[in-house]
This record gives sequence, C-alpha cells and structure tokens, in this order.
Amino acid sequence: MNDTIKLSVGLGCIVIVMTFMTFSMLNPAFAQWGSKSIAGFFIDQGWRQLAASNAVTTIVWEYRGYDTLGEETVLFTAAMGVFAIGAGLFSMEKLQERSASRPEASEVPKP
Amino acid sequence: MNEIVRTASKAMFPLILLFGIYVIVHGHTTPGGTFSGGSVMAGGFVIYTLAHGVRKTEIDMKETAINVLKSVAGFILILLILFELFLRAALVPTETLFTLWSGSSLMFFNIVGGIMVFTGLLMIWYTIAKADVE
Repeated sequence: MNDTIKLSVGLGCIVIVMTFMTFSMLNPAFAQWGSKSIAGFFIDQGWRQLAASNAVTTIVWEYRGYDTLGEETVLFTAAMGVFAIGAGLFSMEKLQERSASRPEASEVPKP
Repeated sequence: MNEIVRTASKAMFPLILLFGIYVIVHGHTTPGGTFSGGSVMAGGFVIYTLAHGVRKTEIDMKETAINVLKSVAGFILILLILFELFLRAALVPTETLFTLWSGSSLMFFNIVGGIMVFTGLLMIWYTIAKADVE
C-alpha cells in the first residue's frame, strides 16, 4: 500500500514535469532558436583561429574549456571517492574502532 | 594466468602505452584526445594486471606515484587554464595545419588532461583490484 502510493506520486511528478517541458517547447520564445545554429561557426572558424584540424578538440578544450575543467574535476573526485572507500577510510571496522575508543558521555568529567 | 597470456601481455604492454601516447599527443590533428588516449593507456595497465597480478604491477608502477602524478596533473591543468592567454601568445603557428606542432595550446591541454584521465582510471582500477586481493 505504502509502496503503491510512493510509486504513483513519483509517476505523477514525472508526468507533470514532462508535460510542462513539452508544452513549454511550444512557446514561441523557443521557436526562434530553430534557425540559429552555431555549428557552422565551429566548422568554419575553429581551424582558422586555432590551427587545429580536429574540431572536437577545439570545442572541448577551447570554446568550452571551463566545462572540461569541471569534467576533469568530476573524474578527480570520483577517483578520490573510490580510493577513500577502497582504502578503508569508511569501512565498518574503522568506524567501530573509532566509536569504541571514544569515551561515553557519562564518563566525561564535568568541568 | 598461464604462460601464453603472460608473454602476450608483456609484449603488447609497451605497444598499447605507445598507442595511447600517440592518441593523446595527436589529439588536435586526428580523432581522439584526452579521454580516449587516457583510457587506452589505463587499459594497457589493466591487461598487465590481469595477466601478472597486482603485486608485480605494483613494482612497475606504485599507487602512491599515481596519486602524486594525478595531483600534479590537476595543478598544472589549473595553471594552464589560468595562464592560457600568455601560452597562446608565445606559440601560434596558425599557418601550419595537420602537423604535430600546430593548434596553439591544445597539445598541452591534451597531454595534461590525458595524464589526468589515465591516472584517475588507473587509481580506480588499482583500488578495486587490491580490494579483491586483501
């Protein structure tokens, strides 16, 4: 019963959001973007500005360079997270050891 | 693994690394770049580890060295992006195309980012492989 309510609420939220997004695309403000494409700019001007024949690299490291820096940060964080979990920093034994060595609240001497 | 797999992996390992370095360094002229080249280089180490075991791979490339290399690469990447303007002013061979020495500062970005992807994937792989051993 409880799961059914959760599932139906989740599905309802998804349907509402999808409907909103679909109908917002029918807004005349979005329709103007159809004729304006910036893909031709990268193909025409990318190798002239940077002397690189690979258009993908010019976009990835030049026109959206800060985005790629964020991508590298995500990779760095993911590797550090895997390393932290795998190295046993968050393993249950270490946590239990730490909580066992910590004095109880009643044993702490009052000032 | 048996003798055949070990010998084959030992023979293929430098070639895989060389191909990965080629993909990274030629990232601005041919298809490929940081992520594909770094994945190829990490794949070479994965094959080596599967054939020889973690202990022998650890002798060739230590995990602490990977950790330090990754941090240094991240630092250099931030420095490169901060001072990218001066870099481009220093070397802009805009008349040469399809050669290695072109594409103003993209080669350095590719190399540093490739090291970053390579060490990141390798560190994830080492952690998973070691967790199985110990």
